[in-house]
Amino acid sequence: MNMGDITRREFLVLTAGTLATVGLAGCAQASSGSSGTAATGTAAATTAGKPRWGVIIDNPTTSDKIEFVQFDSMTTMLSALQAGQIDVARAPECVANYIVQRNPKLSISGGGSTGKKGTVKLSMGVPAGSTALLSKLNDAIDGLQLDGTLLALQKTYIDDLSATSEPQPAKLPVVDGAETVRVVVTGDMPPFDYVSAAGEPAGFNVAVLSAVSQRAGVTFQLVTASAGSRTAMISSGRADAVFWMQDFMLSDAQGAKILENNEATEKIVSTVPFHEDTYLSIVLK
Amino acid sequence: MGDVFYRTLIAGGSYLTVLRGLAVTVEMSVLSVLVGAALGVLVCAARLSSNRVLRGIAGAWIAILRGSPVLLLLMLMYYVVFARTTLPAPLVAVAAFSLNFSAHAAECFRAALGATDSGQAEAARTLGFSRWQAFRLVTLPQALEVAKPTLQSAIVNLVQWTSVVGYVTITDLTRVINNIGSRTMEPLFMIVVGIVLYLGLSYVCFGLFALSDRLGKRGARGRRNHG
Repeated sequence: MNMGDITRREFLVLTAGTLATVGLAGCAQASSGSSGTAATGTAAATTAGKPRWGVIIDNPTTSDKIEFVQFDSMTTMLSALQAGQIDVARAPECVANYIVQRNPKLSISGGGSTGKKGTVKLSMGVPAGSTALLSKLNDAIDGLQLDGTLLALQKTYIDDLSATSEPQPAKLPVVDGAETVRVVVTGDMPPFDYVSAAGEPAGFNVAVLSAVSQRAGVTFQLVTASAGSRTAMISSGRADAVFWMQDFMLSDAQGAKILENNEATEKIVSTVPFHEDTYLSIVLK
Repeated sequence: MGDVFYRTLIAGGSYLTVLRGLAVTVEMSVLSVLVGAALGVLVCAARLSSNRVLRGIAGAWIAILRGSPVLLLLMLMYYVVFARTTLPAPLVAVAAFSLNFSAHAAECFRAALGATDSGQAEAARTLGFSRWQAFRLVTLPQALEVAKPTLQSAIVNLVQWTSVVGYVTITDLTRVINNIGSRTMEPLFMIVVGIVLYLGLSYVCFGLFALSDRLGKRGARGRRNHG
């Protein structure tokens, strides 16, 4: 048997495969661009009858009006939107704004305040047994809310965020003699949670952690992991806290409730929210 | 297009982060292949031994590890077996991938040994070679040649399987690709970049095997000329 030949043939097949993949990706991008106009405003009328909404929520309940398509990350949801597999991607307002500012193919359905359909709260989750940590975090978040720190951070890390220059990630102080709390960040929910070009965890959540650390006397250590592994991180004891969203409420344009959900479980409890947001719909232009 | 390329891969030294992710993927793959292949030799030897217990254990080892998804094996080891230890995540990942690779490698070796002509080893024995000499000089070189193509595809598979380590807190090439896709909101472009980089790794793997073929042939010619 001549190994050299097989290898060469495999090289050829691989090369052809690469070209085909790149070509297909190019076509997908081009077609999503050209069919963009057709997709706008079609959130209500699709081939299957029901509009397909992409959501990053575990086990969305079924609805007779909407077909929910579940994603475990913002990246996959937006890829599906651009490929036409869903009609609408639902995201908190801050996230949706971040996305449409950077991706010229996407826009916010309805636009501005008229397009707001639903609410969500951002908080941290800790194991049900960590009552001491929970009350420390709650006190600190309440304090930051009252003295205006959270608003100031929101201005720097969300409202004034420019698409071309991002602020340096907030530094997490080491508090002498304090317990170290390991927190999971996913890097997949900008501007709340993303990884900087230099590879460091960054965004509003890290800035909030930095402020909480000083106030609560806790040293935080960041652990990056896929969003899908957050519950495993907590229940296995690999991490002490996560970031997540609670009290989802998605509604239609008339304000009628379509989906309610909460990420809290019996084993993981949520802190008080450190940010409240409305829900917007992202569609192809 | 140029703008997308700049924003995703150049701005802020992003390419360095990509290279760091690539290094993590290569490091984990190389270590897992080395440890896994060594384990695979032992498992293959046990599978072919005359001891029934050893044979049974090796058979179960291969069946279980080849039949279970690497991601779930990895999560089981990280979140259950080693959950309360301080073993760093990359070490647990290398252990999980090595276990998985050992099963594939063992079957690879067994098939290759089965494909060689046992009459040749017997002939060597009648010429006065010891059992070990007959194996090392007659059976092994031929078996390695047969094993190469399947081993090569097992290695390429392993490299691709390492892309799931984001589930156990490791930032490898796939995680870096996804992180950049999320931050710049260019996920589709980054997916293509990721595919090209993983294909590059496959090419390197094929290249190394092709090189070993050439060196092997040259070595054989050299031995003939001088022997």
